[in-house]
Amino acid sequence: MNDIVLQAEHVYKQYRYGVLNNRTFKDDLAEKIAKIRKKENPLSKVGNAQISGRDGQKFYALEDVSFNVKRGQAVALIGRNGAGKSTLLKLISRITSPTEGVIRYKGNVASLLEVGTGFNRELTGRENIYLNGAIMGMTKADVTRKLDEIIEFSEIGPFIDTPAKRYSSGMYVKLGFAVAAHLDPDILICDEVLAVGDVKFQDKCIRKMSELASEHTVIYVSHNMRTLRQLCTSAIYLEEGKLTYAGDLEHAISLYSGASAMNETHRDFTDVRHQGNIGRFVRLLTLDILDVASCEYEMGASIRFRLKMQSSVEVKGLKIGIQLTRPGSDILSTSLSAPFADTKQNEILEETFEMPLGGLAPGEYDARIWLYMVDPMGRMISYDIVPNAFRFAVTQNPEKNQGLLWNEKALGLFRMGDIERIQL
Amino acid sequence: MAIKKEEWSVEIKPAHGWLNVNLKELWRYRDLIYLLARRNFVSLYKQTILGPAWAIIQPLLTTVVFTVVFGKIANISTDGMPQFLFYMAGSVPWTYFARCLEKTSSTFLTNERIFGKVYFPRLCAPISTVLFTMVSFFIQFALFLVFLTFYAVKPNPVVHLNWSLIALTPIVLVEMGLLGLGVGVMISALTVRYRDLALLVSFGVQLWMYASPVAYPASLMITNYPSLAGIYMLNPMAPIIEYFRAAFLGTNTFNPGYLALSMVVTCALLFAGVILFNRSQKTFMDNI
Repeated sequence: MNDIVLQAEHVYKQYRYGVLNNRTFKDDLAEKIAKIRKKENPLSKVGNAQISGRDGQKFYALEDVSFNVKRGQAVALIGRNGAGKSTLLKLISRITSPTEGVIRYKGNVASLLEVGTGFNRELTGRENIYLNGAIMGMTKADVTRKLDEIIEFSEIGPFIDTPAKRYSSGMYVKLGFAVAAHLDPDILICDEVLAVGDVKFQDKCIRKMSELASEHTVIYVSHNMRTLRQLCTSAIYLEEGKLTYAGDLEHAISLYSGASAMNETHRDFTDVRHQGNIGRFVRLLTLDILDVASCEYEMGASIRFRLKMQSSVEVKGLKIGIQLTRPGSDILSTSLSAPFADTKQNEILEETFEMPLGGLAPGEYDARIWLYMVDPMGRMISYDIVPNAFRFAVTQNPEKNQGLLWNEKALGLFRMGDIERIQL
Repeated sequence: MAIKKEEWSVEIKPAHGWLNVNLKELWRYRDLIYLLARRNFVSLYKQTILGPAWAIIQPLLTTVVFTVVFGKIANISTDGMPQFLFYMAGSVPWTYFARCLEKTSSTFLTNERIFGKVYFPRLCAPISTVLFTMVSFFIQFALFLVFLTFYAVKPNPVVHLNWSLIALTPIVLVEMGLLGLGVGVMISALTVRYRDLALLVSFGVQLWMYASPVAYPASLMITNYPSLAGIYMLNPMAPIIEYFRAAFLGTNTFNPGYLALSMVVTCALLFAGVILFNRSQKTFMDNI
């Protein structure tokens, strides 16, 4: 039994740089004439070399992308901005066609590239549900069958027969999501539409989404790794239009946020661009991780490192802080230092530090280094912030965990101090 | 991977080929066509003070202007019909056709946002536009019937209804809609590539109007230039307007053969338009 419901085979999508639609009738004519004469097209379309023609350079937004999605899979589509995620979604949702290659699927696809597509301000909520549902491919009968469910989910209640122009923007998106959540397609495609409404409604959306993800085949695009972890089981990673990895979600996330390789113990930040005042008065130049060949540590170990900094002003009581994040996620925790230096103008300092990892559980972490001082009000004045300064791993070692193989999903990311049996 | 081709419900391929118009899919989306037409109607008339009255005011004004300029000042023949009715019988169907053409010709531009976010057969949008325009036509046509009755119940009426021709009205109405749709979508497909065509549309429609017997009787044209009659009647709108006048006013210059020709031309234009449109819908998002 073959369970592949979506398949992409050698998909290419080519765009031109620069002004769109600058074609003239003359260009087209020249192209056609050349074609008839079997000469090389003067405004050649597909060539391996990127030719700069009159109408700008061509580039591939997607290049030789092939993958399979099985029934019931929840796939995260991960990649940096411009990696081709949106283009791929547009191809799958048939908004535009590939330049080469084929995408096939079974059943019907509903794509949510936006919540509330086609909503009209003059129509009532109820009318908009019908219209939006029809745009998404439902028939009137489908919508009627699910109408009560949709209205209930949207939390719009008594306003359902009010024209949508009287709605708050929150009500607007809630209604939009409610329709989308009840589409019931075989394959659902989502592009970061979850961030709608208030926090409570967002939670509701995510719960509904994971419910859908468990029953349907879902392709989900987001930059929020936490939601991806909640919703998806596997991932496709795109880099500059090429599919570089398909498979395990965690691995794709670490590729995505891959600031530095784990075995890189020397890092140079002199080229890091800074914004505003960050990095203007005191800045971090280099980092060296000491004592190890690769940044892997036992639980409870300490990381030793040396920092080289440059200061152009006098600072009293400079401190450093290190914030830990999971690759691609929110901040987990922070480690602070006592004041270690009073800097002079135009001084280069080198200091060595040690950060204990405490109860940090096995896994991969990114460290962000912070140079700051604290004003008398207890507020932080940041001098320099280097995100993704280095990455390290805490290794699995059951001996250190009462014989347990640490599972972060079940046990969390910190191991608190051990419980002791006491006698009073 | 031994998947048989027929197992896949959809294959997305590069935009090659011309003849793959998916009418079955279009039929599946018929509810959407209706809802889009309804949306256009509601949002248009909810925002205006006079509401549907606009649909009446516009052809009324056109007719008055034609009556004054062409009837009174230029004193052009109206085949012996009351001038006001004669011009109205021309301008009401013409307005319907012209609106269909103008609105469908901007399909890609007006629907850019929604087309960029979700797939549905793109033809739904222009078809719904034609349906929605038909509503205005009915309002205008009702007004025309009111004036017609006024003239028809007078003693010794000049106008006399030709009931056997009137029975054809629904067919001719559909034909006009399809003609507007065909030419409109053809232009919309071309405007994606050649933006300046959009500027020509309203000008072109105006020229077309003067090439059709809206402000003058076709008989005037045919008696003055009998050798050009065949070419003149190639314009599918010419026999249509002649038909309206023959059916509702009873003019006797109508030739059913030309109406048949008009239908053939309409089918050809519709076919060409839909194929061009279908071809450009696949990649228009990259060009717009």
